[in-house]
Amino acid sequence: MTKGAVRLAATSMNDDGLKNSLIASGLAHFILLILMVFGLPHLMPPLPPQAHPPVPFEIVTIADITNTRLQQPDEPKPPAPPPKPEPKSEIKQEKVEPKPSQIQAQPLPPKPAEPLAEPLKAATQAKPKQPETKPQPDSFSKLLKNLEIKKPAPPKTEEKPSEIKADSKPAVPASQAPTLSDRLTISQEDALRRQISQCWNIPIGARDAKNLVVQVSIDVNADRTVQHAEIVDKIRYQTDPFFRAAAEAALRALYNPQCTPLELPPDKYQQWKHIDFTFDPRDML
Amino acid sequence: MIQNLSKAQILLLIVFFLFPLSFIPSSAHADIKVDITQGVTQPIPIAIPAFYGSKGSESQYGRDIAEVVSNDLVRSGLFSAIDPKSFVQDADSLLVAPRFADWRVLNTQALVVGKVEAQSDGRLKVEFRLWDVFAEQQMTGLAYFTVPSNWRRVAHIVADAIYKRITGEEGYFDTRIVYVAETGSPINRVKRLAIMDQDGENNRILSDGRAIVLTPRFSPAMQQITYMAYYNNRPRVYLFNIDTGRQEVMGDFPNMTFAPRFSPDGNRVIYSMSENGNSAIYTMDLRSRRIQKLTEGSSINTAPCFSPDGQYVTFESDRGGAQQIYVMRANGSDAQRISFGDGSYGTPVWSPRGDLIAFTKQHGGRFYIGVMRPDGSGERMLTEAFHAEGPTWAPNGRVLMFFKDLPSGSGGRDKQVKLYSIDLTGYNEREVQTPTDASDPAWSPLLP
Repeated sequence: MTKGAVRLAATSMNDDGLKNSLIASGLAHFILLILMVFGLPHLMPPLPPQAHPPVPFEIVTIADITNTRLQQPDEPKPPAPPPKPEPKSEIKQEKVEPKPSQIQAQPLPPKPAEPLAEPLKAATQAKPKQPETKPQPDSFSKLLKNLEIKKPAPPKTEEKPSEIKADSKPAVPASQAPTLSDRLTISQEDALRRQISQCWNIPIGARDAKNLVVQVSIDVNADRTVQHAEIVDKIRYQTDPFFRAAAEAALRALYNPQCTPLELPPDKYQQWKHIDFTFDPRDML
Repeated sequence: MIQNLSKAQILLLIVFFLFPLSFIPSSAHADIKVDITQGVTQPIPIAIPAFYGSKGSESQYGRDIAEVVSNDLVRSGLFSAIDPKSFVQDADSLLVAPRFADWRVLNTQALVVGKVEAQSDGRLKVEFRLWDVFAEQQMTGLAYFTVPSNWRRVAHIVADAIYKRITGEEGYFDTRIVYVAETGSPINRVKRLAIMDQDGENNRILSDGRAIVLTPRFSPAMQQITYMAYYNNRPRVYLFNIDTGRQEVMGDFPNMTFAPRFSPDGNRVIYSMSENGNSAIYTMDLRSRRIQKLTEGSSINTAPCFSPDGQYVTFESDRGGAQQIYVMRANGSDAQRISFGDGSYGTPVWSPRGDLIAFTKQHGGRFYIGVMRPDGSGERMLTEAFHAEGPTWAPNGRVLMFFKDLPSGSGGRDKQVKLYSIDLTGYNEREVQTPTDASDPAWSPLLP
């Protein structure tokens, strides 16, 4: 074989390889196109048609007046487990100049509270009396006194039935609710709202009180006592003394023995073991 | 093998494996959200047992200090004192550890535990801890060293610390009030300059009564008071140093001067002076004695008061026909009327925290003490009387003091003039006890 014949054979072999590749590529594209048009073949036997269970609907009437009553202290309260004391290092040097009066201030070291065994008797006996003043809607308009009303007061939020608020913000997104019948009803939520309102001392008269909206998320024990409450905005809590005061007022509302245990339906523990509260004084200022 | 892969390939692998995870449905986490938009305004129940003292004199100081602290806090209207008879722990055992469960039964929300200890150098050590009873946590704890005669001031300072920790605002208990002490018959009235603690204690008369004293005002620098006095029928503006007792004539003005007040930095005084039946507003630099006129025109402009940042001045003027309140820049420009209600408005006083202006209003034969925002909005009347005037702010801007006239006549009683304090909310109006009739109060800043 001459040199030239070898080169010719190699060229013809290259031509064959190119042709085969082209055919293979074309076939592959064709199969892909067929698959795209008709889809993958069903290799598995088709699943039996699934029977959808009926979705139970709870018809909730949005009445003008809620059917809940104010907290009834009849039932004996389970004792509140003592919240874990957390030693805080918040002691600050108060600015007390010794000059004119020779008064010198020095901070005391924090003293962690000793977790005392809660005497069960003490917690159940001597029930704290109900607050005499129930939060009537009318009373809120008087929080800031004004002897002389020039104009008729604009229809303020005091008339706003809280049910509407609850309705506008569903407590549990429907898509996440395990079953609708397990959800707290609006009346049940309203009972809780009313209860905590009675124990929340609003920061009236504080500077920029309208900006002191406090979010607290709490974990609840099965006995409906607050296990743990946490301020959501921790940075502001540590830097803004006004916010800290407002946040502590919110915490006091949640830990207040007069508002313990929380008014929650015992059979829906899974629903309320975690609650996010927003304490918002804006409507009342 | 992994080592052979580039960073991009590793990232691709991670995304490839993690991507399907995003399709796994999140576990049903159904938090309940509850908005609390209504609350109550009840005083915070606080228990202040007598501070512990091991010896007789220490115990006495302990009792006295606890009482003053308790009175201060209760008078603020934001606290209610738990009845000492119901206390469940004595001072001794409280120092070891408060029994929070027992205090909770009394509905105590805050508990003050204190101790008084005489030092070897003759001073007193007064320490206290403020406990959050529900959270079972110490909120603050401080100790003070002072000479025993200062026990009352220490008590006020302790009350301020408690107030500040719980409300977030500065306290106002360690402050003083200057006022005009009035004695004698209505025709031959003697008006003297007087000073006292904000709770009415430690009352002192500063002037001898030969001159009639009007409109005393505190300097932000504390040592000084400015006031007007008629001596031999000549009105003069004086500066008075509380510490030294030294009195100095600020200026001998040819015309009648009114209502001098310090600027926030204490370096200037703003006042009004009458000329040809009108009155204009001036400032005087206390160091250079240079005078600047701020208002022009043929009207009565008086009762000026600086904003706490010194940028603005509020004053009363009849330039629009009736007597109303205006706000202008500190250089006298851009005056805007801010009061638009019925009746006449006067004596505007800017709150130390800047958010409100207090004023006196006259309408329908009655006097009102009210507040409004510096833009004129949010006007509220806090109290009304036959005659009420002269509002002055506590240094934290939460409380006002003013004076009320009770007319003579009923029951053969002479005319009475008394000081009153009222909370910014319009509630908790209380008479401030003074040995004589009292008018025209001025609240000091916090003592240095």
